[in-house]
Amino acid sequence: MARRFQGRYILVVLVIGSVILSSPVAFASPSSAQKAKVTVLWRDDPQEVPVLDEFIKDFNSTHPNITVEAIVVPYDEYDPKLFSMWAAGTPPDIFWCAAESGYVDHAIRDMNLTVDPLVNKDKDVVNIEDFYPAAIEGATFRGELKGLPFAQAYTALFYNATLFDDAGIEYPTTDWEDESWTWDKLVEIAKKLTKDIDGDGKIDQYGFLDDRDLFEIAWAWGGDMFDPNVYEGYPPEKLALDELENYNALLTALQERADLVHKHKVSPTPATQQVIEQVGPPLKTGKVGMVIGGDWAIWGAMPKNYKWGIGAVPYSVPGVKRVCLYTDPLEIARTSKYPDEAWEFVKYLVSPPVQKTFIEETGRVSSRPSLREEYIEEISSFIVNTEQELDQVLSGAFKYCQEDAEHTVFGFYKLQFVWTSETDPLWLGKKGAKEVLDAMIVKVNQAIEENLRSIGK
Amino acid sequence: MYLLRSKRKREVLVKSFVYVVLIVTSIIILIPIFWMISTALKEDSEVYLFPPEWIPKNPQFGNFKRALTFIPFGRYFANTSIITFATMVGTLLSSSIVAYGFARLRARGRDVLFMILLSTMMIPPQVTMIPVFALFKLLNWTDTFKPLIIPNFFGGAFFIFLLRQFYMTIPIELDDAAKIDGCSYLGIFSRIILPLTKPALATVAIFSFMWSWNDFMDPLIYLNSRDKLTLTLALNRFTGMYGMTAWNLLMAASLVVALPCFVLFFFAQRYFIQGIVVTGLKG
Amino acid sequence: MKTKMGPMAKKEELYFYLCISPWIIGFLIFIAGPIFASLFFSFCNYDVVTSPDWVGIQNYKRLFSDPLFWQSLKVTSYYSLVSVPLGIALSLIIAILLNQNIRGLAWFRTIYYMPSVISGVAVSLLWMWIFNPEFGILNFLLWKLFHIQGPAWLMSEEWVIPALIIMSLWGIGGDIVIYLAGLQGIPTELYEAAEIDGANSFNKFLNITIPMMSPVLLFTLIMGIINSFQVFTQAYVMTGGGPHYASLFYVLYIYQNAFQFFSMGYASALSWILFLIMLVLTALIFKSSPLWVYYESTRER
Repeated sequence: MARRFQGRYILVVLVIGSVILSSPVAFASPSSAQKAKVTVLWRDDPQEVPVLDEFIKDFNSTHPNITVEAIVVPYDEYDPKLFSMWAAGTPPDIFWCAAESGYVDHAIRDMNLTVDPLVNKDKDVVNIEDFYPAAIEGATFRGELKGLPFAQAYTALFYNATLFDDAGIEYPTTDWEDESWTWDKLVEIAKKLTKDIDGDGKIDQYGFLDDRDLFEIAWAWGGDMFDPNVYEGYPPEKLALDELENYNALLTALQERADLVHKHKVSPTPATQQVIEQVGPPLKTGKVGMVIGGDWAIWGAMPKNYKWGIGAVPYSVPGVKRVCLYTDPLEIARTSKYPDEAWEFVKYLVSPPVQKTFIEETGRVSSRPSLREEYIEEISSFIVNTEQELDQVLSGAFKYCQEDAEHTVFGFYKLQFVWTSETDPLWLGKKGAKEVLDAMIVKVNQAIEENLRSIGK
Repeated sequence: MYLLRSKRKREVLVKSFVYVVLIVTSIIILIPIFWMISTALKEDSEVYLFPPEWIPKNPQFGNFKRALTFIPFGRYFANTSIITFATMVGTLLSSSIVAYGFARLRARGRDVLFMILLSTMMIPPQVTMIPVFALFKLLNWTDTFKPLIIPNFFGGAFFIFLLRQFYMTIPIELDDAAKIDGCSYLGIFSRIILPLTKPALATVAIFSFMWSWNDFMDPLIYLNSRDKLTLTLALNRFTGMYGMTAWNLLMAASLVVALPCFVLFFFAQRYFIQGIVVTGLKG
Repeated sequence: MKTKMGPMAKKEELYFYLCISPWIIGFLIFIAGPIFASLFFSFCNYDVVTSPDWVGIQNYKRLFSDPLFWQSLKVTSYYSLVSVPLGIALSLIIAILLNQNIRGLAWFRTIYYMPSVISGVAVSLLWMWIFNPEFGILNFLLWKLFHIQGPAWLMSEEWVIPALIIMSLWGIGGDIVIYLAGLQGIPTELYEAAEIDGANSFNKFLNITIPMMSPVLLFTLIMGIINSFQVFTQAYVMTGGGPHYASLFYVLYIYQNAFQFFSMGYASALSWILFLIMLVLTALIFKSSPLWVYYESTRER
């Protein structure tokens, strides 16, 4: 009787005691620091995080009155974490468009500092000329610079050179101005690369995979889904598809893309693509001959049994070349308590020596043209192209590009959700391109209106 | 004689049928788990094999060790253990007594309060996440374990509801008899209700342990410092964003993370066997 | 109860409030505030980052003309209506089977409970693989064993919800455990007495097991409805709401609005509508419970 009561009390005391004793660190409220504490919100990427940790350690040791701390969250939770911190009044000092919201989304909500004055103050250190113009554009909001590019990705045609050799096909050109390199030619090559190797009736090797989003293929076929000023940071009022030129361009693009899967059969179906992508980046699996998309197709360890190549994106229509550039500018929170110290860290991360290390550790290109050679050197161990060819293909990639609409179009993610859902039936072969496009225009315009209403327009 | 034999034959038939059903469904349940184990044992190059294979050619048991050293598993294991254990204890203590109030004691406003209790489970946590976070920021509890542990000492709606239902299956005559013997309300609680609902209490312990152990969203939002993170957050390190998921390590790590829950559950089995008292042995 | 309360009843009432005091305190501190905050947000335009702007019932008006609202309601109801009864029936049957004197009982129980224990992204990704129409084992087995050409599952507008329902059945271990605990509480004397009276298994099931289990069944029914209406992770990880909105679960739509479309106000309004729906359903079930739920502790209530 009494024993049972006693037992319960002892248990309670034990628990509370153990909880109190075991983790003083865990229970201590964060104390106010003497030094300036700068927090960086980073996504949990197995490549980026170890390198970032090194940089932070190095910076902290050379800047004794600043402590930089990284908060690392999984990619999917980056935005919820970012917004929660903002809502509670404790934003991270440094953040970026690491997930779905773009720097324009942030700028319209007045979340990031305009860094022009800071850049002017530290002109020599930052050396703003040593950034690709398109990358700087990709960090500019209505004429104001909202961050400095730290990570960079470009678009090109990436291919499995070994598969080309096996099929006896010449490698695609690295010359972005070669007019003989057309979409039709690409499809032709793709057909030669599509094979049923073991004769079981199922395709084992696909010639081509187009990884571009809708707005990008609209660009490629000479049209545009949005008015030009939208990309400068002005919220769209409607899709620009009521202009016939734009409409036809996207319609053709959609049809061509659907044909890859259903007519020419050189691209995997959504089901097959899903399985391929679960295994790894499609190009790396060796199951796809060519990919047009961001250069993450060749990030990280490449399987040793293949060789790879980079080529120019072909002309879908004569005279038009417009591909995505993916710039990730580091933004400083407007309400940061330590903006100057945060700026020090930003300067550090975009400085050439640090960028050089970043290239070496991750195999990614830098936003600084002066470091192009480092990048070329880094990837030559598995790329068949010569140095001149790589230089040529990179020049084209940074010349004929425009910043990713995900970063520059206000409320992009919602629009993308709608147009992705609306085009599902097209890729699944259930509906035709025109039907899908017409429905999509209506729905996306509605979504645009809702976006406008959310900022009180 | 004849009757006995046919009855026994029927019993045997029924028993075998039961076994067959159980075994078949067990196999179906186990297939995905087998797939997880098979993937966990694959070599790095085999992971990219397509179409995927069932039996790895060269089982890499070392993958488990690799998975555990890829991130500071020891630290995260300690963190998660502290949080989970404390949560479990808090939930048991508070939910059991609150449920007793709802189950056995009459009062004005009881049913309204009970509906309010249920209602708290009907608001999706996604929309209260921000105000809750702001609240904890106000209390200065962010980046500590406090938001993960302390609220559980104030009862959990799911568990209160569960225990209330179980308490209400106990015959009221037992309460009355105890009252006649001079037992107080709390005495009835500790001497009649609690012992007779051991299986339910074991269920509460297991569920609250498991939910806390596998909780992802709360640690994500409330914790910042890397040395305070929990195991489920650590699992995310294996899924690279650009398609470079270390599948074998992810599966190995997921299995290891699930292990303590298996073990706990297996050993908690004996609490599912009812005490003798009034209700007799298990059927 | 309009009659005056005697001292005994007053004492009982005091003890009641004493017992539930932990919950009341916790509710006032941790729960009430955020819930009322979300109610407030539902009347605002709130993008989370800047402060909320009062807009009155605009969000609620928008809701009723939003095709995605109706779609998500349809999707979620379909899922709930099928998975809840199916799950309850299946887990009850297996719990009863497991409650026999079976060898390896502990092992079986652990096996059934295993899926609930493994959590996280790994499980969802696993099932994506299983359901893949061209390379997954489900269609592979359907063809090899039954010569049926399996559907496109997660890639098909018609089959994506059935696929998720099947996946939910994999996790019935939790309910099985709860039923097992409940079955333990049924006195064997009842079964023995019934047998003496000549009852067969089916009679025993209908007249003893079900009534004695009814309080627990009420629990799993209500929790089943509440949980099925809040399905989120599977849709978020596996389908993203597609194809073509076919798996746009209600809470997924709420999440999208809250954290991806900068519309926390609208998300809050959606949540309160969900709340009302579930409240009505739950109240109806409780109202009907005297008809079918049997409590051993029934007295004047």
